[in-house]
Amino acid sequence: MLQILYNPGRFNDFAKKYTNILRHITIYLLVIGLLYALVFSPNDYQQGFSVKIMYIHVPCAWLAMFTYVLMTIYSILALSFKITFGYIFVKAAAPIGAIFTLICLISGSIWGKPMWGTWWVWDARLTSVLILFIFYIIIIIIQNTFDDLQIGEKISSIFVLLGSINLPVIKYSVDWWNTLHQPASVSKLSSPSIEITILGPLIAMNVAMTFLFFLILFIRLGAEINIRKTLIKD
Amino acid sequence: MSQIKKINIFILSIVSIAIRDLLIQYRKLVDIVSLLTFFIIVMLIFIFSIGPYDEKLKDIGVSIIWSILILSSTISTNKSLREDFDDGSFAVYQFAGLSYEFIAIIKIITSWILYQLPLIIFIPLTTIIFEMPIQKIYMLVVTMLIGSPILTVFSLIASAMMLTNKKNLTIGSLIILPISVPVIIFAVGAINADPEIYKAQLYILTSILLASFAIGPWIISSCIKISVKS
Amino acid sequence: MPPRIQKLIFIVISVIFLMISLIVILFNIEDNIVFFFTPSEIIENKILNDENIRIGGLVKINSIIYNEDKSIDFIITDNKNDISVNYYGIIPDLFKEGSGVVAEGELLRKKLNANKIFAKHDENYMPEGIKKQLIETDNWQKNYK
Repeated sequence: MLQILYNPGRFNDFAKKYTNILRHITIYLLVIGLLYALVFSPNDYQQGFSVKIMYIHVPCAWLAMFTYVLMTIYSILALSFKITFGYIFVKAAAPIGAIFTLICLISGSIWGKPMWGTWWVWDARLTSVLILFIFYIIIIIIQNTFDDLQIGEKISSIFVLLGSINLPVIKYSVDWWNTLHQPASVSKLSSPSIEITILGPLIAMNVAMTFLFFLILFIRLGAEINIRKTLIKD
Repeated sequence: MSQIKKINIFILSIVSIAIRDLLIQYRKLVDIVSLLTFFIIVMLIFIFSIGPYDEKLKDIGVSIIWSILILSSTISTNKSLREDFDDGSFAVYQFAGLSYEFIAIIKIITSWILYQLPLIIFIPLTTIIFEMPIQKIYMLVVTMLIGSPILTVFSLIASAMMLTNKKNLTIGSLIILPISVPVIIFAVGAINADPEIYKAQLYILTSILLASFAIGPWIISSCIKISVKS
Repeated sequence: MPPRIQKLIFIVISVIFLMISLIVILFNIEDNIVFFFTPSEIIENKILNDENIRIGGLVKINSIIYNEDKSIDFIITDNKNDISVNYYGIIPDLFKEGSGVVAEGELLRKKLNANKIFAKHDENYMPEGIKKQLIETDNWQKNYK
């Protein structure tokens, strides 16, 4: 069963079986989440309608980090245990992570203009996320420059590991330094700082976007595995 | 007895590789001269683009010098690794019983001496252009002494990653720039900071140096291994 | 030296280096990169004049004055010290009395002539209806700012 996570053949069988079901679930969840978030949720007492940007921004930020964490784990697996599926995973996941980071940055600055009064400031959180985006772009570039496919994917995995230093910086930047960006409110356990009527749609959107991420990931992984199969046959 | 002899031979081979490296690069003095020329020209471009207003230049002189330092570390993305890779010297080093990690450390030391030391000696002279106070020049030299080895490690990492890549030459510098962002933040921060917090920034810069020395050789050697095996 | 021992020495040295650097970073990381200063920091460090500085804190209650030339005066406080601010320009939505703010501008004799203000949003989110309820039942707490 665990072999699905690192064996390309097993994964391919699994993906073929379940991608369709995953697609249906994702569509339902997205429709429910978007309706819940954009139509049926109340406005915030300070931000008014603009709070709804958060329902896109927060899931994208979470997925941008989550993708990089997964890529780091798979790079370690690939480099130290010679699991080729790790390289395939990094190659498939990098563009998805880049897109989510980009959406996170854009939606954040759309929210920032009316709320903070500026599109962009160079505080620690925003800068470190921008650097995360640059890392994603460089990973994609490295994967596509080498004549020898295998060297490219190995070196990009090393670069993924190098960039993983950025992850704790992103996470703790709002605690270490005084930033304009607000500190985390969902993971704060001590006191509920989000009212349940706003937290509900946020969690629904988070789940829906995570399913969307896995759907895209499955499709890309399947395609990548098939490309490699044909390469081996030739 | 034989153990001591072995260690002697080992140290000798390290020293000889270092000397060989320095000699080869020294014979190409043109490289170092062109690096210094690059430095001056970029500085002139900055000054012309900002306008020759003393007050402004005084404020941002440090930032300009540090950003040119990073830019110059991207253009000097060392050819020494590439040359050794192309002429097969890595195999010879292996016969001498040296692991790639040791080679990486030797390369870090030699290329710091060759490419960064001249800049560190040279840059305080150019600060005359910006009319900086002596305190700032002193801090500039200190941060450069701590920060430039980090840049050397980064540029060696980039050039080790790009050993077999002959198509796209800009990626080398693309790799260096984002990972050297913290270096420039803390270095320039230490120079411009108030006396109470500049020490903390210097400590952080030093610990980045230690971390890069700890991780750098591993990354460089594993990249070389990947490239040599193919 | 056989390669295995070389590798061992290397691993030990790099782990030691990494440990030292991690410890040093964790002890020194806080409050080095400052996006803004608080009024107390300004007054304790006796910064009186600065051409370009950011000061952050809360907008003091009942301190916003709308002048005739469409500029506004308000006071930034961190509940210990105050800095008065003059600002002319567009005001962001979240700028309210009692909410967080960061002002950027020129500090002249403990008075800030801001040319830009950012409203700082905190980590509390609450529907509009609930705020009304809370105020009606006198459960509205100031720390929800």
